[in-house]
Amino acid sequence: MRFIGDILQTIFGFSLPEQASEKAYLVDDLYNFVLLLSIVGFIGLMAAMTFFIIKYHRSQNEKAAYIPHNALAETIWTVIPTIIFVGIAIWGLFAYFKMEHVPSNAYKINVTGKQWLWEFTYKKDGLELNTTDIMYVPVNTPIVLDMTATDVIHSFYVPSFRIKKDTVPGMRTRVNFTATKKGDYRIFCTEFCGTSHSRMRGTVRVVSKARFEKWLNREIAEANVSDPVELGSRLFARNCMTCHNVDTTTKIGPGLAGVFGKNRSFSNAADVVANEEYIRESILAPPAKIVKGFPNKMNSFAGLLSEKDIDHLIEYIKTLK
Amino acid sequence: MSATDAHSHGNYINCEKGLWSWLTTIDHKRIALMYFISIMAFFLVGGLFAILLRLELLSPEPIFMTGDFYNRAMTMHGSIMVFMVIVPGVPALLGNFALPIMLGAHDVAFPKLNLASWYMLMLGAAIAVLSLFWGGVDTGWTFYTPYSGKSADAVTMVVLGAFIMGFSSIMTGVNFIVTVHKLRAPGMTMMRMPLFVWSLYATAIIQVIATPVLGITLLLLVFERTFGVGIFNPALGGDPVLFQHFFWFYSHPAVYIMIIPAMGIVSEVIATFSQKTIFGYKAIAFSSLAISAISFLVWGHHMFVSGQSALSGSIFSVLTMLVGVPTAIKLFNWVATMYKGRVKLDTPMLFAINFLALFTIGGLTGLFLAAFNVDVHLHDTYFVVAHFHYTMLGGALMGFFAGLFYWFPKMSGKMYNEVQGRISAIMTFVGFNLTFIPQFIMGSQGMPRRYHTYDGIFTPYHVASTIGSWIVASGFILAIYILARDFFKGEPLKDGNPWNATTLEWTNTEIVPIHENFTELPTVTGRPYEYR
Amino acid sequence: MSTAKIDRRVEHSHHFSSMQQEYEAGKQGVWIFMATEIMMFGGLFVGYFIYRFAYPEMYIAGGDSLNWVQGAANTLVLLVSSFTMAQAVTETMKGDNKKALKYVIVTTACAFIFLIVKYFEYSAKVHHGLFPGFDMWNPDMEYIKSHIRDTSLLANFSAENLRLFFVLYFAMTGLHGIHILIGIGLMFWIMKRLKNNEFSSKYYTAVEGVGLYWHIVDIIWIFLFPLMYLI
Repeated sequence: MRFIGDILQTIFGFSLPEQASEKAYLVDDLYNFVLLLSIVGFIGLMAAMTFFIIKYHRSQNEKAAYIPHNALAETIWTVIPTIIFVGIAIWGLFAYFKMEHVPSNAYKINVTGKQWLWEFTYKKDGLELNTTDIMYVPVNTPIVLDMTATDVIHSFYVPSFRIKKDTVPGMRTRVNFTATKKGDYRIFCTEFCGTSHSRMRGTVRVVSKARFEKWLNREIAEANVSDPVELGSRLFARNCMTCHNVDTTTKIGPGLAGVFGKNRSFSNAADVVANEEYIRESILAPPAKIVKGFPNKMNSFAGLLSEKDIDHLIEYIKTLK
Repeated sequence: MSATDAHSHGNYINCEKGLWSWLTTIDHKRIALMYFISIMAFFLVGGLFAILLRLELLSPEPIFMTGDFYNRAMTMHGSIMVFMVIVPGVPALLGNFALPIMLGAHDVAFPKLNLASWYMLMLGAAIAVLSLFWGGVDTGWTFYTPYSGKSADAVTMVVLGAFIMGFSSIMTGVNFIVTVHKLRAPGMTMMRMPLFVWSLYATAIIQVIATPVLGITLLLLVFERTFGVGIFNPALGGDPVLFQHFFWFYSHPAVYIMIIPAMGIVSEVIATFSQKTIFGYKAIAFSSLAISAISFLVWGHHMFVSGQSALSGSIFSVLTMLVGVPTAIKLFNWVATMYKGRVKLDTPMLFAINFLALFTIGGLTGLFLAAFNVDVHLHDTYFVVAHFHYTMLGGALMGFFAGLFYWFPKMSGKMYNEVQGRISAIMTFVGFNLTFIPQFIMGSQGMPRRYHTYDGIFTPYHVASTIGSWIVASGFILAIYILARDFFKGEPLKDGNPWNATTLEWTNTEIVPIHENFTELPTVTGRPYEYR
Repeated sequence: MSTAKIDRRVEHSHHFSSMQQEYEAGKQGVWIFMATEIMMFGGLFVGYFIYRFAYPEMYIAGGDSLNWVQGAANTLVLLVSSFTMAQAVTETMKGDNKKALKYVIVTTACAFIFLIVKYFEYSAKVHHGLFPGFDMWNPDMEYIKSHIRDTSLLANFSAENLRLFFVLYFAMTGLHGIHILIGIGLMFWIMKRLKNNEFSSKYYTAVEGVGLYWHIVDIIWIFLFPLMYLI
């Protein structure tokens, strides 16, 4: 049977995406079978029609025959399609049950659809990791996605895996698969969800089990850092590093090592001791106090950093010696 | 031919004059002509949106539309084509014109209701189209909740418009059922009715039973939106999927409202242009009823991936397959009718053959979608888009145009330009396939529907599809142009039955029917299509 | 077809062959239209049962907090009106337009009584914050708790999802109320024609049609009453 399936796949495979999950062939076999049947049926019917049109064209045929019905022919073309159609349905639903079966050891990932992105939640040892856009999964491992949506209905679709399921607000739906090939595969949202519906795409990145473990351990540790100094240093790297060095050397602005607790003099204000208040003001309203010898170049970060972020930054700056 | 002397009032077109006489007419033939004009106008508007959408899809990134504009254009295309063109198209236009005459009646049972139904369609259509000036609607023609519960204000307008148009459809349905039951000419038994009448009868049953459910669904949506009650809102305990069940309980039978009458037309046209009795009259008549009965039991196949249970999915899958059986029977019977006939490929026949070929593809691709697991892959992709355009545009509308060209001589008393008519039929066929075959392929490859921007791998298919859309649009515009021009300037008929057809509207009326159709009701003695 | 206005129609419309045919067609048309009414309310009943199975306690609590006395009174009023309507049809068939007119007036009065009772019911619900829309939803917990007959429900009672009962209560009884209003409109039309002595034993389709409509409206209430107020 597999052999026949493979032959059909070679002929019609061009119209289907790559087979990258264990259940792809379940869909493709039936797809190819129905396609073959359809082509045969269609060509047969059209050939008969064309033949009749040519043979019995008005210029060729003087008189029409009188054939109001034919019990045998009608029985045949009622019974045979019924058998074929119901056969296809039964094949389809058995294949579906096979696809729906979730192995008990399946690895669970939570998926949330939101206008207009996919969020993936991994859990390990009581810690959580939220990612968007790219879903990492290990190859050859049964995966089950536990899905919901926060706003409107979306639908999670990975063509190469032949899986699709709506994500419904207030409801949990599940879909499962085992990726069989490493690589990147497209995720589409297939339930219309508004303005950027067509941008609600993502990627499944299938990697080796070892790489997945490594990735997950690293990311989940990263995501669960609670040390304010560590968080502050990350914020600093992202927001401040272009203009401020972490030693005493000058970049565009002054180097910040050892600044906290020292007296600062300004070109447009009285001296103050660099305390928390002062650093906060420097971040939110830089032109208020401009350090002597530096141009007024810094933009305000008001609205770009949260109160928490600023606390973390201050904690970090305190540690710079 | 009934030997009646020329009626002193002239025919139905010129017996009264002036715009007012048209707007207040209760003559089913005049109402049909009013539908003709309005539905063609809607068709051109809906088509314009389609052309714009296809143009935008030439490139994977936006060309001239924003995402919101695209979604609005897409919703307008769908709503106009479904609610204003295809649903009323065949029954309200061709059915209104032909049904009473085919039965040998002077008019439909409730002529005033018939006129009211036209006004309802106009009112609903006006409200729905005017919503464009209140920001438009971006939900798609399916109005899925909870999205439609929150999105643009104009949703309420379009939904109310669709509700009113639903009433129009119900009124037409009630009228046709009663007309068929009570107003048949002497001797016109049910089993002597032309197949077009049978198909309208089956359609009317669906219209009457299914449309009220759409009505209540849309009312609940309006209730939800104006009062914020939360019946479909999961945040307030409601079930958004319930809306889908309600919606498809109407909207799946509704696709048969669209296709069954077109099948009726094809039966008429193929028998007439083969000059041979229809093969399997009873099978064709009863398969229409069978389709309308089964159509109520298959709505769940729109929700195979919505999270409904695997058991109900399986049941819906098998039932859906069963709809294929009466459909297949019809296809075989039509081809068998051509066997040993005297086939002539005039424009109506060409459109009927378009129907036959395209609808067969539409039906066969339905098998993919009815198969439970294959649908998981194909659901909400371009495969579905192509499938329903093959059934609705390739099926219902090709049948509709077959009917328009077929009854055109009787409506107008003129003959259209045959050569041009054939060109339009061939153009639509070629353009149609160029437009939608690529959509099958990209759908199978995973291109989701309702996408304004898309992955670059699909570009070649989209380009081919867009080029095809220009050809198919030109074909339909040519067809409409021919019909409009020749209504006034066509060559006047000398014979009231140019096709040598057998049904009463051709055999027992004047070249152009008089206001009362018949001066004396005909007596029917046998089945139609008796070419011996 | 005659052009002059006539008091009593004796001739059928032009497109019918006989009065009998016209009468049967009209009657069948009304029946088929009634089928659409039943499908329309049918959709709501399906919604009712789906949510009732989803949240059974809420439906019990909601039903208990309705005033069943008012509901029963309205049921009685509609039953009486159904009877008088049937009498009106019978009298019209006999050709007694005057007597029929009296019965139609009583029917209309019943319809008004129904709406007045409904008004008091609705305003009580609105008063207790039980209208699930316009941000008016603010259920009066004491009011609801004091009405719940099954005391075992009271432990840990919270009004979550109670809203869905009242959505359907207002949707269903509201749509029914609109039908009563339409019915009143039809009654006035019939009254005018009865007053003009337009009907006879040969032509009474309009009265019978309105009668049929009125019975369907009553029957829908007969289903609504127990589902909403009693169980």
